[in-house]
Amino acid sequence: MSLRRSIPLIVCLTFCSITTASAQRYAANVLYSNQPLPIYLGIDVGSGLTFWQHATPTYFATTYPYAGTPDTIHVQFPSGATPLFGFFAGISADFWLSEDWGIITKMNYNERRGEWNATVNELADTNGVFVNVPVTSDLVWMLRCISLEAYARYSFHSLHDLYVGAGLALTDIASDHYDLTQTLGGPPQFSFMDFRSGSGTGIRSYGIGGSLSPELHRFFGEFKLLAGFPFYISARWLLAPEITLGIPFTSIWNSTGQADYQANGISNPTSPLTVTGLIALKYQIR
Amino acid sequence: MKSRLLLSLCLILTACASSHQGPILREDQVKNHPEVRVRHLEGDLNTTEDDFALIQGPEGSYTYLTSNRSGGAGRQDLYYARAPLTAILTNQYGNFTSVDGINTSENEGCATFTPDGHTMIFSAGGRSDGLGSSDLYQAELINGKWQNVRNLTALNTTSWESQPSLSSDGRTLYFVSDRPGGYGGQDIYVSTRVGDNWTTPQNLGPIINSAGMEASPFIAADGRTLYFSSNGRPGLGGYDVYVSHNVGGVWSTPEDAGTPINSTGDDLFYTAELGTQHAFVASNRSGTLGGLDVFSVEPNPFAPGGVTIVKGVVRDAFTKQPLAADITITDLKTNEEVARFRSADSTGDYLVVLQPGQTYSITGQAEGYLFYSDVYQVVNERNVTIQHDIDLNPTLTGKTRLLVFFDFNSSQLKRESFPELDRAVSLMKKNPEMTVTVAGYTDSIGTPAFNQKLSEARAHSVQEYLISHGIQAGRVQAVGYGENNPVATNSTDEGRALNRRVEFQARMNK
Repeated sequence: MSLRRSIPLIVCLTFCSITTASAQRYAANVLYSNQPLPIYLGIDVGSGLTFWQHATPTYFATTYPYAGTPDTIHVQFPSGATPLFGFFAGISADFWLSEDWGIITKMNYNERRGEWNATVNELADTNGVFVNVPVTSDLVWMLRCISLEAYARYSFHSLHDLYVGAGLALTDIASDHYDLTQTLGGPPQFSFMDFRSGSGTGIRSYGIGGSLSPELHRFFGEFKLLAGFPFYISARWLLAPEITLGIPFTSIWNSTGQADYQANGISNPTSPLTVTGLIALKYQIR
Repeated sequence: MKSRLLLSLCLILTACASSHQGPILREDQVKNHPEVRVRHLEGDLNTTEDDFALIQGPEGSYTYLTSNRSGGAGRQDLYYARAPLTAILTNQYGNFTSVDGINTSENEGCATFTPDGHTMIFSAGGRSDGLGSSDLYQAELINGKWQNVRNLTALNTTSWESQPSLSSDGRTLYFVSDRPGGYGGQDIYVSTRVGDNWTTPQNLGPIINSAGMEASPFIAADGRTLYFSSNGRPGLGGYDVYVSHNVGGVWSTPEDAGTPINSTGDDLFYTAELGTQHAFVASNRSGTLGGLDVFSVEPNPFAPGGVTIVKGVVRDAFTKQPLAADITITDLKTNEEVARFRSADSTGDYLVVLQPGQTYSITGQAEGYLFYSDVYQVVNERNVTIQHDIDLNPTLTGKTRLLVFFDFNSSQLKRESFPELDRAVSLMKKNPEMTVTVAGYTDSIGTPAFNQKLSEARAHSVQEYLISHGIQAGRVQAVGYGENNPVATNSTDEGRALNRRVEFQARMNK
């Protein structure tokens, strides 16, 4: 499914959940033949781990700071499964459609930060004699995202109201930023080269920052699974630990990013699987 | 755009805040009862979940409650406390326990009981034999356990039926349904028991039912005072409690129970315990632990009219051991059997409620015993409790006094005698080896010769009735003893009344 087509779907699902919840009534019990559907509003706080599927080498395209050819380098990290980790906070709403079924919608801000570290030997030309020089790359990548999620929820009342859900999420990568430091090892006379002049710069370690946005889609979509367990702390308040799993159905990499991977022999670039654990504090407004 | 969003939000919140469909009144627009104290009850009764429909359970020594609390079998469940309803007021009732045999993983609640406590009618939803989202069910208390749960299909539809309230004679059932054909939302319906069957439920009509939702009817012990809740009438908000009286078969315009009984929240399940001055109401007003909680209302400003309660123990006349017996109440004006209960298995306790203005006979019958009947003329409308134990004689060589009536100085049987004589016929047909002596007695008023003749004539009248109803002549002997063998003094009216009698003396010929 393309991203462009998934956006209206998610928006529509979220809207429908609100209007449906407002229009329908709660399932009958011995007290009421039909009663207002409960609606819970909640505050979600938690943290998430973003795993990279297919633990293949991860490539990050970055700009070589010393002008010349090539001015773009691709840093390879063999430990491609390094997860992104970060906190998130958001708001949620649980609209009951019946005693068992409901729709949960969430909007949250989440940060995903990852660190990569790799040392690779680069061949250095020393007046016709090629030697291996270790180059260590340290990269910190931070994504700041806003996610909209909608789940169809089912509660197992016989299991103390344990609930599970399945749905969709749309994530907006509001900003991304990386900091890369490359450090040369080997004999001290080696330094990074200015490709324009062909001379060494005398610099053995440099750091640059930038954005990977040229290689990323602004939005990506996920299938989401959710499980939660409510602890009722009063008639209207409850605390619910929840865990969610996001499985992307659109790539976060755009065609440029995918081309980079393909240029490195990887036809199917890695996509993130996201697992989050959170505590939702919910208040029943109806 | 922002203003539209705000408007929408306001509309949604307004819709969420109140479900009242009738005009909202201010507190100063409804009647206030300054003498009434509405008190949140303590103990295990109220929880953070809905707790409601508090009612006296079987034998007067149990209290039943419906609750959404955790720890039950499902969502809404029935709970009981091993204490009378009055103990709830003083928090001396221990804990509420889930009712075995009734509760499932679905919804159960809103129990009502026959006066003998042996039959419960309750609401349940989600059962495999259900017709609608909630149905009325009946269960029987056998050896201390609720058994024989069955759907009362004559009362239920594919719609929602719940919140039954049984009259004190066990013959009339009020309940709520949202079936089509009502006046809107939920309406209150009534059905009458004829034998073991229920008549087609009738809508109580537009005086009681509004275009909104009516709920939680409770018919008081006097059979004429109906408490119910509605959100379709002018009120303080949510469901409010209303009271209506049945006068000559017509319900009066419901009266708003006013403050402090009603609040701006939901006020439901107003119940008035038999013979007391207090009532209970379930409400989600401020001050609850959560959802609906049960409050006491003291004193009840809408106390029902008086009734006569007859209670006692059915025993073996010789061993004095308690007996489980059928208790039949007969209206002697119409000779109609108005109710049939059963005394408690273990204690022999029975309790019947008699409405004023009628004359009744109460008959105790048990397997292997001769029946015994007494007459009660209920004239006043005050609450009166009569303690009367019933001693039953074993069928084998036993005797019992027949409740038969004659005109003054006449041997002509009055028609009020027929139910009792029919019982005698039934007993003899059931026991073909039984022969009886019908013995007539008088008091000491009049000459002995006249009394002798009168007693013989009356015994013969009874003998003829039995024979004319299919009993072989050779099985019935009639004897008159005049004023001999008095069972009480002849110097008082009460004593003479006891001495004027016809006895049924049985023998088993094997």
